[in-house]
Amino acid sequence: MKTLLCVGLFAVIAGVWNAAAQGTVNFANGAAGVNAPVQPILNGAPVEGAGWRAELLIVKADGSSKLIGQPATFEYAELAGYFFGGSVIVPRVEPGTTATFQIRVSDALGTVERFSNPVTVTLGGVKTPPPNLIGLENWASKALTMLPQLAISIAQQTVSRSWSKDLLNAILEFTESLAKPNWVSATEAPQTTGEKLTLTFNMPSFQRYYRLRLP
Amino acid sequence: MPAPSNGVELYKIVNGKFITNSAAGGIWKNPDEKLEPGEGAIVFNPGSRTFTANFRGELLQGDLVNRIPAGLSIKGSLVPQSGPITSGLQLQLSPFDNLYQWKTNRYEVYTYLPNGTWSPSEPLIRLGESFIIRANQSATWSR
Repeated sequence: MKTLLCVGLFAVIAGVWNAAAQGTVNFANGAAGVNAPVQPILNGAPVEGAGWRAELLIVKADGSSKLIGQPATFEYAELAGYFFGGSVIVPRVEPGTTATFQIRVSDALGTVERFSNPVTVTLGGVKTPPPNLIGLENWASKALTMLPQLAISIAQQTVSRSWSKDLLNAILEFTESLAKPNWVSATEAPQTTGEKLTLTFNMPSFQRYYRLRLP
Repeated sequence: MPAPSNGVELYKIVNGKFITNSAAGGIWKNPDEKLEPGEGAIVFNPGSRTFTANFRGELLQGDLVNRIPAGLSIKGSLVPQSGPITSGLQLQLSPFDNLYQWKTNRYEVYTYLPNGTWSPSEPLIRLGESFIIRANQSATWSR
């Protein structure tokens, strides 16, 4: 039986394109032409779930990079090592122009990180869908960085900061505000206590933020 | 399809590249352009008023095959049917192939996973709606 049908195969875009359109990219390590799962990083455990995250960085011409979009979480089980962050808007870069990206993978505790190779793509946007990160390479060969851990312990009138003695050149810095930080290096020499280097201060009467800087 | 108001543009993807047809003075720049069954297009309407395009024809019969090339293409169902793209409309792709669906002002990216599911979710296709596919290798969509 023949039947009349009345359909139109269209994706209708109504008046939403403009000259200020921004580029887009598909933030995923599994996509058409891309198959670059993150292999286990610590103790053979899979990179999966909310314990890990991937962040997209745009690499500028001077080599510096800037985080864009929201972090993506990793899939589970047979899809461990993959993340699918979806379309990310690239601020102030027009569709059709090229941009270079790098992905940072780290655990939620901030103890390890690993960077992908840089990937350059022509951005989507307007009528063009976001491109995939073609050229993303196997992660196994990428350097793994153990991020320094800064511990704090508070006694009645003192506060102690400690870190691994392997970080002999690390410099402890502090500031009293994160809104307008003025990082000042601690002048005291840390004391070795077992596997740790420790600096103990008198308890300040105001808030103070600490960081460990590697020269 | 009658030419709509000035400035309306219709985009198709041919051999992985966008081609544009535009309307001016009540006619299309390329009035002979064809839109085959199962093929989709993107319409850009710069105006504030929506318009309706009616398409009439005979319902396709028998075994229907929609060929999906490697790379970018715009596709739609050969059967006038809405529903989830794989469990309802029976589209099977290769692992990590992408489907892009227009959502108001941007494309939503969907990825076909090796386990036969979709990330972030299975796309729901409306009646008469087309979508873009980015396929790693050619495929056939049989109904």
